[in-house]
Amino acid sequence: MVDLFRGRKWDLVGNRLVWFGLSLALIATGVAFWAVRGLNFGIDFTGGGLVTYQFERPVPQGQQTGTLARAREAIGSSGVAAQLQLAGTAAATDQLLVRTRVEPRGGQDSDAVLTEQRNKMLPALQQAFPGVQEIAGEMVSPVVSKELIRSAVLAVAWGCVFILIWIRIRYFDFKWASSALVALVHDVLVLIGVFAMTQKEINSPFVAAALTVVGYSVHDTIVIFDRIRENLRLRKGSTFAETANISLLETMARSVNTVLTVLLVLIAVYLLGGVSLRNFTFALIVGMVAGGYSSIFNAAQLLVVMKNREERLVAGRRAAGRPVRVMPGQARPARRAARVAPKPLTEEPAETVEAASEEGEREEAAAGERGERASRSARKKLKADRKRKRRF
Amino acid sequence: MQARTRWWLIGILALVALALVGVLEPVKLRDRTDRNTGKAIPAPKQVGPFRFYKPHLGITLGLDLRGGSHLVLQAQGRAVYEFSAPKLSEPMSEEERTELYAEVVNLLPPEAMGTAKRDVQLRGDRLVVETRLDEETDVAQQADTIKSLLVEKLPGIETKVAERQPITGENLTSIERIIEERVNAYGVTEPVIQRQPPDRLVVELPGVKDPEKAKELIRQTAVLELRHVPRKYAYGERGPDMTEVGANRVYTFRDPTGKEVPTEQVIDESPVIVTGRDLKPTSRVVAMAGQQTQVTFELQGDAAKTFEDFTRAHVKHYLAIVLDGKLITAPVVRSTIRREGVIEGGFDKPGGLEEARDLSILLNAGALPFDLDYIENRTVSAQLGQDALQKSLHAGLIGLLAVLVFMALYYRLPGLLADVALIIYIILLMGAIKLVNQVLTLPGILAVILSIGMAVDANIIIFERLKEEIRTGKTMRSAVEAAFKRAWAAILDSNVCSMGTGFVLFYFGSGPIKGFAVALIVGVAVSLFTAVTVTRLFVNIVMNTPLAQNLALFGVAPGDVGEA
Repeated sequence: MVDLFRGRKWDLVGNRLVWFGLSLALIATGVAFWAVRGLNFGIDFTGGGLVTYQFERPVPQGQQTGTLARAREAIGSSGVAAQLQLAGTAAATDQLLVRTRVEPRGGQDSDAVLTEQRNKMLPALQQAFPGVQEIAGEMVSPVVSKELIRSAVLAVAWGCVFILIWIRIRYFDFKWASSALVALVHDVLVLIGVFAMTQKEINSPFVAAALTVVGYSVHDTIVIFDRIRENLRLRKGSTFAETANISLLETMARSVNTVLTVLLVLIAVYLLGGVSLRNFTFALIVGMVAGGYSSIFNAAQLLVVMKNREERLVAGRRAAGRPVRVMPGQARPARRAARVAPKPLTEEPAETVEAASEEGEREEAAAGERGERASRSARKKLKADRKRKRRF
Repeated sequence: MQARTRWWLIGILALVALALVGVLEPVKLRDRTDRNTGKAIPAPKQVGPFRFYKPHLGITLGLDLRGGSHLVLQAQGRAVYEFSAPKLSEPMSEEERTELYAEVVNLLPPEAMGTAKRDVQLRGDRLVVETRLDEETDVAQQADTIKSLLVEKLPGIETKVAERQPITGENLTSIERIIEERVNAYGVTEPVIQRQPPDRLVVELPGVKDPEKAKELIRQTAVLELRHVPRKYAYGERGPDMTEVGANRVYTFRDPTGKEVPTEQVIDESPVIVTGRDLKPTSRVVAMAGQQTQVTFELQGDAAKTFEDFTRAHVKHYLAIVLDGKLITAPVVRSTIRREGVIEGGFDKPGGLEEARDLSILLNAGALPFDLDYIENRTVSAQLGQDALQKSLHAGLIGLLAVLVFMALYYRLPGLLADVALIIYIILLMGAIKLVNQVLTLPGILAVILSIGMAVDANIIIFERLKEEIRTGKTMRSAVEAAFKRAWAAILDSNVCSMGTGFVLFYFGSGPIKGFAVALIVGVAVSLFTAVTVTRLFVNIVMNTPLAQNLALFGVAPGDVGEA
């Protein structure tokens, strides 16, 4: 049961257009749903009252439409304008959610309005469904909901800013940070898209889930980036794309396992936990899966795209004879097409010797005047170094 | 085992013990009530020189788990106007004055001024009007509206003062104090009352039995007024008619022609003599068999003198005792009342005793100087809370089990070690939550469960790394060293990001979300700790046993070693 991933020679980087296409398709679908059906915002963001009633016995699957209709009639007869919904755990549907509007009027504040509505609705419901009880009441006045919307947007924005800065600090340049950021945005968009498709309610917990997913998806991405960074140092002969691919394969086991363990606990809660947490947990599940996917199939590949462009720039400059400064973490000038399978480590094709390493480049530049012989000896030294490093 | 390893082991075990003690609280406590149920904790058992209390949860549960109400109130400021008019400066008899007051009041219905509440007073030669300040109130415009409504009655009327009085920090503090007193007198265990400047208050009432009643009690302005009913409506033998309608007493006033006059109008036209602000907080309920239930009150300061003078000069006149604009009772003045008085007559119906008690609480705590609106109300029944708690714990346990099994199967020996480390992690995590004194909400429990899944990640990173290092042919010892060293960078960076979003959530989130954020942050912090200490410790211990030589236990087939 150990190690399904070892020794696989998948080309995750070369196929990046496939992954990008998939992601874009998913996001596009989500956005389409968003545009057409809108999002189902809960009272946290629209303001209003939400009263939860519990039936004496769960409503069987076949009777749900009928029960809902009867409930609507009962509420209608009480004179309160409301939206109704049945709810419950996966096992039993035994709750009725009633949503009303509570704009303050005539000297009554939102709460007084809701109390009035509740006093009208409960007797009406009790007539239609004996034994029904009111078990929770929530009221968010329009004043507060405006603030919650603002907080939510700011929270997500600041979260992203923080991550951008942190990655920039720990990794070499903004290319790394922005790839991670794009992967993040992808996750959030997928999350929103799924909620647009399923029309599940979006409340404060959704925002908490989105931020948690953001933090966690970056977590994933960083582990991969860390490996890429390490491999860049160790495998100076490969192109960036190759290094990235190797790193992805090396960390694959860990990435998959971690998403797996998190999903294990979350699915347990989704299936067995109470009603109140279901939307929250659902959002987390969708987000974690999206996060795992984006870390493995999007983040590194985006970085490769950017680095390839950088490579070409560097190569172009060199060809034009202009000075080139090689930064750590920079791409190697590509000598072959980007579509490459990962090289086994024992091989060392002759061409890589020509790909200059940092020291080699500096020495080359400095030795430019000293002539060909000097640079050749520098390269020989490099080869020996590399051979030595490999065996610890 | 090495001495250093031994010390680490003792240290970790000590921490675990400490956490368990903190969370389960089997020790001597300051007060012996369970913080979550309010019930007393049974007497301790004596074991040798130690006393052990029955283990119970030492962490405070949030309202969504205990049941109760979370309320947010917003205080509304005031707009204050002062007007002068030539007519007001003319000398007037008392009757004329009362008549003028009544007319002015009738010219200023609240709706005409665009407000929900207003207060009118004649003070010397000035007319003082106070209205409720909403966000959209335009003070200058409102002053003009008032003037235009009164200009016929009071020609030459001029605005002397027109100012906004929004809620100040001091106001908020005094409101907080008053509400605190009311809530405490009402008898809720461990209520939470917090100010949210500039003008909001958060009130949490765990386990409150009657949330509706509590809400009303908190926010009732409780302005008690003793007003003087104009002579034309009630005097001597000609008092108001009183009828009992259901559980309420209804007073009907008539004007001199015998026509019924609405009670609100009568109250409106009755000038205020004394208000609740002039009361000492010594109000009591006196309920004795054979007598009417009474609420006593005691006046203080100048008001006592004012009242004495008034009653001396107005025997046979009627007083309207009004609470928040509603008439409670309308007694007749029989003799001079100096300082103490009673309110009686409205409390002898069913539920009247409770009303009397509520009234005396309100009188003693003081009237709220400002209007309070509820802007947020989340109430969960205890039953729902219990249900949610049980279900989520159950789910968490199942999830935990699944993770434990998975780790053991996939990573073999290190997996088992990680499992033990995970158990320790959970205990330390609960201890840390207790340490930061965080209230555990339902999302908080979810965060704990989530942390379990994520804490394993650190171990996974380390073990995958360990496998790789072993495969390169290192000795077990150096493989372990290298694995931990190299894994650390990835673990640190990724967890910092998780913590960062946790902090952002904490800053922007409301109650239950804050609980989630704190649990997440603490979870990440503790997992960083255990990843370096506990896991390392176990691996070190195992290193020194023969088990370390069996590479298969680490998931490495012997043929893999030596790959470069």
